[in-house]
Amino acid sequence: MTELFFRYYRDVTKYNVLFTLFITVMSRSAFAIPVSFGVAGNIFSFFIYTHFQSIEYYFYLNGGLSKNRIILNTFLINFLLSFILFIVIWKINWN
Amino acid sequence: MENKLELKSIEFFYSRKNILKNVNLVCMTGDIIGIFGRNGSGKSTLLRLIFGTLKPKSGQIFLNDKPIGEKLVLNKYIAYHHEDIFLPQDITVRNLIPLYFPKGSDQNNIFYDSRISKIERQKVSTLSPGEQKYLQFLLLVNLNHDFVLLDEPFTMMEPLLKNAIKEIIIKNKFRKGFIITDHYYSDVLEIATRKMMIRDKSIWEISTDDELADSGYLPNGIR
Repeated sequence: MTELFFRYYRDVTKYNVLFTLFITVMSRSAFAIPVSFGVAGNIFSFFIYTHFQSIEYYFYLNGGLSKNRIILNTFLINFLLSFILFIVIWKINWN
Repeated sequence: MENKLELKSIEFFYSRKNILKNVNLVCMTGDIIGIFGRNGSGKSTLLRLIFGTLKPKSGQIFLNDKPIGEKLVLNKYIAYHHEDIFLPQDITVRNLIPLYFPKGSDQNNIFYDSRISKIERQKVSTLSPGEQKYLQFLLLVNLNHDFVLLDEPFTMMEPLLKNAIKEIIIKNKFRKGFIITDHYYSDVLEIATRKMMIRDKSIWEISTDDELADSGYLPNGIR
């Protein structure tokens, strides 16, 4: 079940990483990384996945994972990672 | 254990259009129910209602006399083979199988299939549509679900794979119930233990193959 979820997590998060890289390069600010990865990139990645790979949600549903659950779990993991990253960047800048 | 899947007075609308009306159906372990009907008659809709990805406007679906909901689907009682391929593409067959079957012993039925062992090192995206669909079918049938809903399992399949699918369904009918719909009607007729027809929003059981023509599904004179 965990492996199945992380397959989805990997697939959807790759779009988030690309989006975050683009936003970071454009903004030239380290704070863009957590803000994008935790919020905007997160939303963008779900949009892209749903647009191009929505049929794959049947794969996860047959495996016992609902669409809402895997989206929510992915969002929470990325949000938490972003929060930690935000604190780290803030600490570095503050010192 | 014998399981029972029951639909009672199901009604479904799509954008105010009535698709299904007063649909009643019982599927038991051991049943292979073939559902026939013209394009747009509501066959796929019916399977999605049972799987829970669509909600009926009225009526209820029961599994062993308990109302069915997302929980029962997610607790692995019902598997649904979509008419399209839903497998992740950027993964090898060898790495895909453990996602559904973490235990090595559970993987044997799939890895030991002669058609799968030939392609296990390939990425799913490099397989032909027929091979992908066969892999998708094999994964679902080997899950521990009590009922399997098969939407167009024979479409895009070469004759040898069609035969393999039929053999696997018959082999598994003693522990599962199957509901199948496909326009390759002769393949469905060959294995179905019960046949049903959907027309004019209603579903009813047919007893002879000739009724497919009589009900307007097949042109007269074709069987």
